[in-house]
Amino acid sequence: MNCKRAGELFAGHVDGVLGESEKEALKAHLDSCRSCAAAVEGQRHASVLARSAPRFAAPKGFSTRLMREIRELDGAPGLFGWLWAMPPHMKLLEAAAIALVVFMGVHSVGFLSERISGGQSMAVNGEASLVASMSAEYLDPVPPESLADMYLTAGENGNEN
Amino acid sequence: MLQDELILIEKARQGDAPAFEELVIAYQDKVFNICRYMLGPDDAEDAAQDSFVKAYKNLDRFTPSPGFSAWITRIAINTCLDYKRKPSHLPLAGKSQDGDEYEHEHASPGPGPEAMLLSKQSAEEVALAVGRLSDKLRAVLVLCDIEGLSYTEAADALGISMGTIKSRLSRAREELRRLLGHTREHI
Ligand SMILES: [Zn+2]
Repeated sequence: MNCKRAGELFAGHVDGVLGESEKEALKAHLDSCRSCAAAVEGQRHASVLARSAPRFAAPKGFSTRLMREIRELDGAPGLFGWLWAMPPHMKLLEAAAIALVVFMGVHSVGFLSERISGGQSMAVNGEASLVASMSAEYLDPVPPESLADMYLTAGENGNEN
Repeated sequence: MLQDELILIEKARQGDAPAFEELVIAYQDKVFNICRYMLGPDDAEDAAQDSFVKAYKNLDRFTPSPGFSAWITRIAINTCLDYKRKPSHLPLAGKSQDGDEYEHEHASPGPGPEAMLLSKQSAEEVALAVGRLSDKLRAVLVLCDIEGLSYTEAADALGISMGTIKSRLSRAREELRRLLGHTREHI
């Protein structure tokens, strides 16, 4: 082994990661070459120096800025960005709330049209009662106020993240 | 590879942004630190952000081996190399260090007696000297000595052989020592 080849193994030697054959060949060289033996000591010192280099931490707000960019990429509308940020189980609540709004809308349309056009609104009424019967068992136990509360909580949690 | 990370990656693949954000928070310092050393203060944050955006766009290509840490490291290194190819990129030398925040944490375990002897060598001096190494040497030294990657992980991230890692790390450390000796003589 020549000095150039020995020099390439110094870091691995200091870090104790050389294979058996490399280790033996380097040892034989170091036993007979005073300059490389001294250089190994320099390398040991250098490894401590290198590991004393500081680590730079990501600047404050890094993840917030990044996630904003990613949401824009995904085409999530800014107004509903907080909703997009919700965990999936909170999105189920969103679906339930939309169903509630649709149910209330259809119900009031049916009610109004019944008053306005009397018997002609039978079909609308029929749809409304179908939606009502499907939605009632899911929505009745949760009054609208508590849904709104959960929304706000979810929005806050999303912002914290 | 942590089981929790695999779960987070799977969720992120399905569009769960908070799951991806958890991964970002876990790896943002590592990615930023690599970009900061490879590019200097001006481009570090942009490159780190771009690295995560690339990861997000390519989550479908992620494979559990060698793991997210190695994967994101490789993306960060490649992103830095892309930045360096841009004509607008300025060389590291002469850049200001203003506004940088050091994290008082190192890849190696607590200071041994040898490290105590070196305590006069300020972290900033060492960081500046690392910045003066050639790109090839700096990349290996940052990954192995500052980020604490194994030789295998570094070889994987840089797409070079173990033998090349060994020889470049030897040269990088030797060069760093020379630069710091030079620095001390002129202070
Ligand atoms: Zn020799």
